[in-house]
Amino acid sequence: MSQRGRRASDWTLDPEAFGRFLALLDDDVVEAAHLYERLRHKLIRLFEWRGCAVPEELADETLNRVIRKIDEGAEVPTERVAGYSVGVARFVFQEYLRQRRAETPAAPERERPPFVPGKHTTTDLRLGMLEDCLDRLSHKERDLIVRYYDHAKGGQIVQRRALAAELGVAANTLRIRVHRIRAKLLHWMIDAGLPASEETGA
Amino acid sequence: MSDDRKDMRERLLAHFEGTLSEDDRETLERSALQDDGSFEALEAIETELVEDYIRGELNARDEGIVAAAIQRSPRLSESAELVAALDAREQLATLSGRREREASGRGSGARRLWGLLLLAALALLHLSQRAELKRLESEARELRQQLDASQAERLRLERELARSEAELRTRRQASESGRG
Repeated sequence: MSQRGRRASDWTLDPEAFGRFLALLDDDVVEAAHLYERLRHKLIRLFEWRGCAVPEELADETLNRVIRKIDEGAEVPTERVAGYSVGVARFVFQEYLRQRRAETPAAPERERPPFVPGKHTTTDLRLGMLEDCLDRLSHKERDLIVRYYDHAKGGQIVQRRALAAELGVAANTLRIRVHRIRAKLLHWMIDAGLPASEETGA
Repeated sequence: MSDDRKDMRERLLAHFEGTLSEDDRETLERSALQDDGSFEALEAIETELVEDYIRGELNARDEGIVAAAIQRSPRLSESAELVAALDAREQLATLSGRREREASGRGSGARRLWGLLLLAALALLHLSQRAELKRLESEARELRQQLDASQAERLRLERELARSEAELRTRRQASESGRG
């Protein structure tokens, strides 16, 4: 059921509106869901980069508003959905800042303390988990990330350039490839319950 | 580092710091949201900043900005922990690799020593065997010479005996014919 014509405050996300938004992203439902997740992930990162304490909440709020605008008749071609979302995200963030100034809320509690090099050490447990996650990678991916971090044969820059040359890719392409592998590792490690760092006691 | 990347790194740091102008911020965000390549490049630079921070390779200003960003963002903190774990793993691998090489070096040194000792023993054995062989050959030669000499003496004595017996027979016959 379309909710066109209703006031913004009355609007709530329903499965039909969400389905129409997915259909706008792509005809294929699976591909559309993938694009939606990707857009949400990017919005989360954007809010993180802006220093927001609740990036997931703001990303969901942004997407809700984008879906509502489109559901209410805003003409947004598929290729402009991402760009349109940036504009909406900007307003959502400004509202968040205003609200934060008004409420001066306490910083949200974190499940784990932020990592501080020198203060925290990498535990055996985390190293073991890293090994498990490395084993889940393909042989090629594992080899690439292990060699990317292998500085035993020389300086980091020299070693990575040599690796890029060996693979026949630009340094930037190598960085992106490693970034994707690292993102996969991080995802698996968080899913597995990344153990907290240990303070060195220093 | 290419100018593009350096510029992107500076803009990301300014973004973290909150000093990027609103127009620049929107340009950066729009580019990241619309283009997967730009987004991944930004995330890769972000990780690079975290790596440099973990290794203490940032200047004081940038270190402060990244530390604050890690403090704010659980995701960035987890990313820092992963980078630290990868670094720690590499350091362990380097250390154990060095130890293995050292152990392997010690092992091959010992193997080389044992090999040399074995070769020396074999050489000594060979030399002593050759000396013994020579001694035996020389002894055999002497014995053969003695045997030859003995055989020649025996032959001479046999001939002497035969001549004496012949002379004795001749004298007996002469004596008997004298009495008859």
